[in-house]
Amino acid sequence: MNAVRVLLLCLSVLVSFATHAHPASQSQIAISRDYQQVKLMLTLPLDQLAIALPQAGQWQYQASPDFHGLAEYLNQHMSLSQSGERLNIALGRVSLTRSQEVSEEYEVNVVLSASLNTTDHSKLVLAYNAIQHKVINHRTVVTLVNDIHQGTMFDGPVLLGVLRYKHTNIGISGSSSDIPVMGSIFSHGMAHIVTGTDHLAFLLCLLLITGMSAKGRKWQQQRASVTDCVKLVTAFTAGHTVTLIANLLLPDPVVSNWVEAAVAVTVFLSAVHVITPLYRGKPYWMAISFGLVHGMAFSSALNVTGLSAVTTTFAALSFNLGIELVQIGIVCLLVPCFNIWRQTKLYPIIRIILGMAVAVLSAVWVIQRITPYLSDLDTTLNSSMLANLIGITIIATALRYVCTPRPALKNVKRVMS
Amino acid sequence: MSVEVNAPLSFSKTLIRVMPLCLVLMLSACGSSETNTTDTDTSSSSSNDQSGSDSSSDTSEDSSDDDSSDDSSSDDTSDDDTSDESDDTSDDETTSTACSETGDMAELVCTAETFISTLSTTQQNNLIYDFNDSTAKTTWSNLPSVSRNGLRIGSLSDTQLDAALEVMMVALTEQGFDDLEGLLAADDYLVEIGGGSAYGSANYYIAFIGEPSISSDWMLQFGGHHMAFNITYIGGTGYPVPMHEGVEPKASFEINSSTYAPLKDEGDALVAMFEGLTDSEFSTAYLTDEWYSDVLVGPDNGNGTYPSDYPTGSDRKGVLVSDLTADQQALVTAAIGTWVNDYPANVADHLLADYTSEDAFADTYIAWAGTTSTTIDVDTDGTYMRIDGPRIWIELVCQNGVLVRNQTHYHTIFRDKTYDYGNSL
Repeated sequence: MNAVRVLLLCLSVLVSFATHAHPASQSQIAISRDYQQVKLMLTLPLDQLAIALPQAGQWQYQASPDFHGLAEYLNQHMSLSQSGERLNIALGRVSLTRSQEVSEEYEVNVVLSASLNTTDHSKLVLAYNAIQHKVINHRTVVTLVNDIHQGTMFDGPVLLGVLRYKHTNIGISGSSSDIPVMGSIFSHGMAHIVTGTDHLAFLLCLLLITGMSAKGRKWQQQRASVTDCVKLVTAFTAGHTVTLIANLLLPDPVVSNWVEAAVAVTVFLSAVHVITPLYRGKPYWMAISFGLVHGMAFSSALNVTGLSAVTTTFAALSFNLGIELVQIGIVCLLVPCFNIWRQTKLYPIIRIILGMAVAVLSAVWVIQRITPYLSDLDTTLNSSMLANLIGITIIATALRYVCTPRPALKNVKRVMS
Repeated sequence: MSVEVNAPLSFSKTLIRVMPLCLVLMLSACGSSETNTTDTDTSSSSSNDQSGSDSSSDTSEDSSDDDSSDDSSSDDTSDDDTSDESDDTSDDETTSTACSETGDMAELVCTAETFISTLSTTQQNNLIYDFNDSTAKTTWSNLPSVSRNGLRIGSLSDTQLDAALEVMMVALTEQGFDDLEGLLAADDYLVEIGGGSAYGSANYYIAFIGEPSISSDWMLQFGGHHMAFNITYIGGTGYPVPMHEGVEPKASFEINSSTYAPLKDEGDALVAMFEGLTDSEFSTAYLTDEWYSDVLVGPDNGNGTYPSDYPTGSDRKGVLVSDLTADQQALVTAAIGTWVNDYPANVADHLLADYTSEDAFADTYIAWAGTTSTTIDVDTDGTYMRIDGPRIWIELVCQNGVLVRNQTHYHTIFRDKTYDYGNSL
């Protein structure tokens, strides 16, 4: 699979150069498969199409191009079949755009779709020779941009092959049952938060101050309850679930550096909040509203191109359940630790040091995400680093707990209760 | 004509500066050598098409220079000729380096080893690949800016570059080295007219797949935009396939006071071959309802396999060469020669014999395609010519220019259906 992706990468490089240095552009077919339907997104270079379908040569000169005839042409030169039966292909949106690489060249974008028989899990076969039947050297790169039955939602598109002279058929492997797919989305959600340093930094800030109350410019030391913390992170999850689903359901999900930068700003604000209270109200509102911002950024982690709204919603929910599970795990591990440190005089210092560290880190992210500076500074975290950090915290806490004279500890506990 | 241009230009200047130096050395070593027939260059400058000078007239001063130089360019070219000539003579006789000029594998391996000895250990490691590396063998492309094997020419010192070019001078004949030089110059020309840093002679690469050896197997690669020399030596016999050449601009152009039209002889020879046909043969050779916007069996892009997409059976269209007269067949042989004779005897002789034998011609088709079925016009987009034998596969296609928009440019491919990569993948 990796080899295929590498090949795809090479090919995409080639494709991009091909349009730059080379007039004989290739076609592309991006396929996405949902439970009920398969979508084919065709990109055809207009100059090559016009050789095979002469009327297409006029389209670039028409104010509103008359794509009449394209449906019939494609119907003659392509078919999609399953178990030997030809599926009915419906022509969707057709548009003419300027090629991104060479401004003088145009591309015809066609969206086609076919309904799938949900009980038939056998493979699909695409037979296609549009343009190539006339332009003998023409090549069409076929990718599976998304497949509910494969890991394409996270690992990106898979190259299916290149349709060309003597190679006019391509198979799309059969589907599997539904549950493992949603399960893998769930585990990807878990993985996403483990490696999402900014997300974790925000979580840390939330945990450092839960259960404390602001008094003037200072935090009043109190013990946090695990249940309160779980409620807080759930509020955060609720926030990002709303925006994640909303964003994924947009025709073109918002994915921009500004969203990423906004996430970094929320982390920065919460870090400052750890050092000195900025906000007195219920922490839930902060968790929810910052969650809304983080949810926007998650949409780049989930590729839902071509999937139906229902599938998208389920995928987003599975993803966020995975995130939530890891968050609760972290709360269960860290909050008891923090509670032990809170009983010491060291805690305010620890809190401020951690707060400053997160503030500096998030400031770096803001700079990285909206300016070209600091781009070579690597702040990513992997699961083993995270495990080490949590392990160190737990060991340090255990040592602290063992070294604390019992009576004193009991005293504190009595005071607290 | 901004900053970008400077780097590649200064490189080509070095090239030009260094070459005469070697030549003078060689000349003095081997005595005088007469200046005469360099068919390629003289023909390109004398029979030069108007379109060539027109094309470069985008920049006005160039055009006047160009015109005058086209006519009087015999000076320039003869200079060039002398130099090339002396290179070649030195091939045949004496030496500027330690390698004895036998013109055979021993000399090639000697120059290759000399080149290796000029390199640092890191460079040597980057230059030489394992002979069993099929991915490396098949890594080549017509495009600029894609990843290539070996050492970038622009990264070499003057001494190293001289040694690398010396390898190519021995691996190619004068006709072949003229192509190489012309294609490098064409890319520098594209930089000069504003093509950008992806182009330019600095962006070409040399690699050895396997250690150079007289009797063991190895492969020499030299390529970049519009160029892929892939010469596999199997037990001392060379297979220079697949070989890709392309050129923009197609018409003759001038850069650094030299005039080039590197693929003119290939294009002209194919046109002559079709123009030698009778009217009915000419229309039999025409591929009705077929259009080629590029060659059919193009770059392998490191896929590690032989191409499998040659036409077979009734798809092998065109005129059968064995049905032609001896004169017409001679034109086919001449056209094949413009590719095969880019290489010295240990490569060219056995191939030319195989490709032009009676048996081979009985299974060799020549065919062409284009906008109209009446005339072959290499100045029209989509004009396509090919030779399809039991082993040989030559295609030439005319595409609209990418940077020189007012003329077409050539893409060509030369393959052997049985002996691409010396059949060693």
